[in-house]
Amino acid sequence: MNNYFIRRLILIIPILIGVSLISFFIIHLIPGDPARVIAGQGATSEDIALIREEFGLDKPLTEQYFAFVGGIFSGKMKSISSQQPVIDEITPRFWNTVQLATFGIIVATVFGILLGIIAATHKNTFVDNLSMGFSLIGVSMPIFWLGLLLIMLFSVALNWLPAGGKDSFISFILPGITLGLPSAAIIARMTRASMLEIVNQDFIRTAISNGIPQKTIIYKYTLKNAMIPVVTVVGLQFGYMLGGAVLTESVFGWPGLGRLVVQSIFTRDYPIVQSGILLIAMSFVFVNLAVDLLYAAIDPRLRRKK
Amino acid sequence: MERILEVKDLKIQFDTEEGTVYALENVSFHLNKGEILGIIGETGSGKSVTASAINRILPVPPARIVNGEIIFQGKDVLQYKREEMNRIRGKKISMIFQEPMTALNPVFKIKEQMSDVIMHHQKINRKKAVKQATEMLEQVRIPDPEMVLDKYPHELSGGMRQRVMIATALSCEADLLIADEPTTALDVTTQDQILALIQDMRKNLDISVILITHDFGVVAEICDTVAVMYGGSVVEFTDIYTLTKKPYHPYSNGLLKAIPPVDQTIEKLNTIPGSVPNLLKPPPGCRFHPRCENALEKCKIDPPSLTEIEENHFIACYNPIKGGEDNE
Repeated sequence: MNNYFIRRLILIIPILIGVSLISFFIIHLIPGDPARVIAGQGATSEDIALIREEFGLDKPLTEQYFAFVGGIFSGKMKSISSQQPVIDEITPRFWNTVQLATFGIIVATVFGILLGIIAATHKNTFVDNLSMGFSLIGVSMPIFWLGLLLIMLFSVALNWLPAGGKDSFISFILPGITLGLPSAAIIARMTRASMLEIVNQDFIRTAISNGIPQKTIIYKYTLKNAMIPVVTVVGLQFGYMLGGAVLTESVFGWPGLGRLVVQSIFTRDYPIVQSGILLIAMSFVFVNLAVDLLYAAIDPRLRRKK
Repeated sequence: MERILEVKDLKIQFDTEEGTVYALENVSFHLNKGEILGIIGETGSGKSVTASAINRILPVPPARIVNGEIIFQGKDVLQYKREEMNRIRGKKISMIFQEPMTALNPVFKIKEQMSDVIMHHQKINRKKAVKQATEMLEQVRIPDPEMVLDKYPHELSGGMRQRVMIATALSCEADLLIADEPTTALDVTTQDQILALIQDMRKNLDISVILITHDFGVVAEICDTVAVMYGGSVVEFTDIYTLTKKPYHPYSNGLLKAIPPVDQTIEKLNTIPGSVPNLLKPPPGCRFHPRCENALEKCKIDPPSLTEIEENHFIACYNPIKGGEDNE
């Protein structure tokens, strides 16, 4: 178990090196000169050359890459546009995103699993069709549109909840639901399919033939087994939320990491974009690791011998 | 003799997308208290459906019980409500299955699975239930019960798992144990031990057993009576001695002849020509007639019903083998 954990941790290193390479080169492949953007209109070529030198943009790409890696470890890397250390720019934004994503995944998991169980236990009835229809809508509805509809209803028409910003706990409700609903829909479908598969397994038949009441069979014997694929989906969704909440953050003016990265792409703020992508990738990798550990917690067959 | 179970004229169909499956027809037999009844037949002969019907674990729908009664301890189990059935299953009627690999829940320890059953039926707390589970595992001759209780199913061998299954099934003093091919997935040595265990349990715990198998050797070894099934019907039902010495039904006779003799060298194994009928479109009349050497015109039109032709010897055949002279 511990060995397994350490091996997984070591495996993260090559992944992160790969991610750092990709995030570095992708941004450099995008056309556009950050020095020109920073210098603004009407800047002379001397100004631009000066800026280029200041940020090391005139150096060969390999050297720039190592400077970037070095900058991460030393914490001295600075944003091109704000001149602030990257770490100070990114950390609060990332923390905001983590909070929102956590709220979103809780909404998604609770709602999704409940809906999935209801659908599975009422298979092929009106209730099943209703919940699956609802989840189909949830999957298909564009996030920005869902967000806008919620704002129109709860902020504009009813004036119950704030339409944007991050002031107090109630600010979480609308963006959290917007972020969580599509994932809830996916989790619901997965839960339903998984439950229905497990119900047909031999060990459920054994439990029935031993007289175990239906409630225990559904909520204990079936559910724990059915959670194995659901945990994967929850992990993936949480990973996406951490990295890809750009739309939700934009609709609700949420000061999160996704929005910061997108803004920085426009201003060609290389250090922010690269570090942001690296951080998002890192959280994805760690979420996956957590999922693997959860697997072992649910399914004893996956536990390694000590 | 006290009859613990009597199945009368059971007829079950399955409504599937391809059409109606005529799974069981003309199924009748009975079981006396303390005896072992073997139900023998090929794959698809309806053995397992019959067993699942007794314990009411057939999924309804697609299954539909068209006709018949299953009288267990004087009451028709088909009339019980679901909650009533939950008090009977595992408590009065227990069942074990073919696949000990998949028949135990992979994510719970043996301890939890066994004590859940005991707690449900006996309304006692977890600690007492675990203690009882330990005693039960000792009964099925598991050498280190505490260790086994603390394991997950995948950490046990097939034979061990089947013992755990039996221990769980009998933990609440069931009166009837239905064993659905309990030894098919096990190797021969383990198979023997499990059969011996079932016999012992029958004696020690005073239970009656229905043993479903496709292995005549198993039936001959431990059963008192046998019901031979073919194509969803019971074709012959009698005690094991009579069946092996004097089978009346051409199918039972064919089955017996297909067992290679131990004391002679034979060129070619005896077989019954043809294969089992498709129960979506079973042949009219007797379901065995297309493969039967003794078939008459009547057999193709009208299915024979199970009738007692000698005392305690029932067959469903218009033209039985006379006196069973083929077998020494």
